[in-house]
Amino acid sequence: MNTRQLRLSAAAVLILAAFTVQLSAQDASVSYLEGEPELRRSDGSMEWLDYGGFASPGESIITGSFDYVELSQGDEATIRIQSDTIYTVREVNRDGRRETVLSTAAGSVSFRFNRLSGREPRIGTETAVAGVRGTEVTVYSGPDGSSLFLVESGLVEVSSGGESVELAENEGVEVPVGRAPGEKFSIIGREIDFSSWSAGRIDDFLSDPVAALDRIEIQLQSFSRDADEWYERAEAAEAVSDAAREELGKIEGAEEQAKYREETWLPLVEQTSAAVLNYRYNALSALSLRRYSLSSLYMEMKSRNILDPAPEYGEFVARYNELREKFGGMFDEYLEDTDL
Amino acid sequence: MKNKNRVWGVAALLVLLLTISACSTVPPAQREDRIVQLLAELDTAEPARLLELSATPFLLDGEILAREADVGTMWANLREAGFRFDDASVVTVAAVSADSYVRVEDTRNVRVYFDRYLPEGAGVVEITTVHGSFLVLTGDKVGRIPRIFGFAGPR
Repeated sequence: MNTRQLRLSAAAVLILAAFTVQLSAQDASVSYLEGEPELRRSDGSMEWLDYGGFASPGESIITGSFDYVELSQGDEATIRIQSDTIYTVREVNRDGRRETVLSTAAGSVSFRFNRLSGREPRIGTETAVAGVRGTEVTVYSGPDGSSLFLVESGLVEVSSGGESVELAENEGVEVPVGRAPGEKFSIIGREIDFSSWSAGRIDDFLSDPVAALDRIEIQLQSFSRDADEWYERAEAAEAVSDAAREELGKIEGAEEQAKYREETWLPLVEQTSAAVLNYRYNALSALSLRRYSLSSLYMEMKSRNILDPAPEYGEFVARYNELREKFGGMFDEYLEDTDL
Repeated sequence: MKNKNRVWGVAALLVLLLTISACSTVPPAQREDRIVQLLAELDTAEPARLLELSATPFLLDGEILAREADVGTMWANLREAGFRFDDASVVTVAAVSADSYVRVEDTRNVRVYFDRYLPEGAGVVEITTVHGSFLVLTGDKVGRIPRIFGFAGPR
């Protein structure tokens, strides 16, 4: 890790700590569970999830093949995490506001928001996010990085690749990785379940494995551009903030110092914090795509071709290795070992 | 005669203690006989047992499989493809050390996996099969058999 990143990370930790009390109000805690689901802490450690437990920003709930978790947020929200799912809570700064993103990194999660409020969280997958209003929605995240949103009630605006589509009651949309949302469709009379949808995504992948990696690269490039941009902003903001802090030290008089601190220095610190939050958000989203999609696709190809490789297997492995190399170049400096 | 018997008795006791001590200091994940049992069972076990014998996260070559479902799919696909650890013989068994990860792959991903997920007493096992040689990561135990944490190969 280089020194510059270290300084920015330290700043992020300090500022995130300052927001901890405010964020805890948004945590939904375990009201019911089955099996032995685990909680992955932001420091990378794992522990069993229990009643009353919750995932804070930077943390994930991981369910196994026979697990199920239900989180409740008072009367406001219920989140149902199905088996073989990875549910993450992240934060991003959007339009100057810190937002919580409840993400289905892999598998299937259903959300029910019982009443309208000014700051409902955003939901989504690693590659598509959605704003919600009084909503009951299920989000699937497929092995190839695709997403599927199924709305039972309320309104959902799904965004990906710079484009958005608004879903109303009984509507759904699929979002291919690295692309804009597809055409929305009615879910009335359609039996859609995660395992059959996921199997369809795998069939699609197997029909052209290299094309699937190309789509993942498009998405990774998008995360990389955003991460680079926010990192540069963070560096610039930190330089200005450092200068302001030095200036603060020179000011005489407690009242003048407090005024400068409140009106000049703290807003600059918040700017730095927002930029750090956003480059980390993009890097972590990219890591999730690598961890839960790229690894899954590699496993599918390797395990099917271990004895008699199909003609396309060699090309797939070459492209896969190239993509892994590029991933390192794009994101290694933004990620800590504890993220992996 | 009485003294001679006493000496033999003490010697026998020492041998017994040394044997017990050796057994208790080699973790199951590094014991060749237990590893062979694991490999044999991986070739025949039912899906639920395969998951029981496998750690999650699981290291496949340089990739970390984070979901139990992916580990289950991997075993199902391998079985479907006709893969088995046929005629496996253990070539070397080594305890995990700080730079063992390089034997699998010299990448950050694999280093972090070794640091974070391999338990104390884990082993890096080199085996040969009719399909080539593999590195198998073992650790922990399920009953008397070690759990498989990952494999890389064939090489």
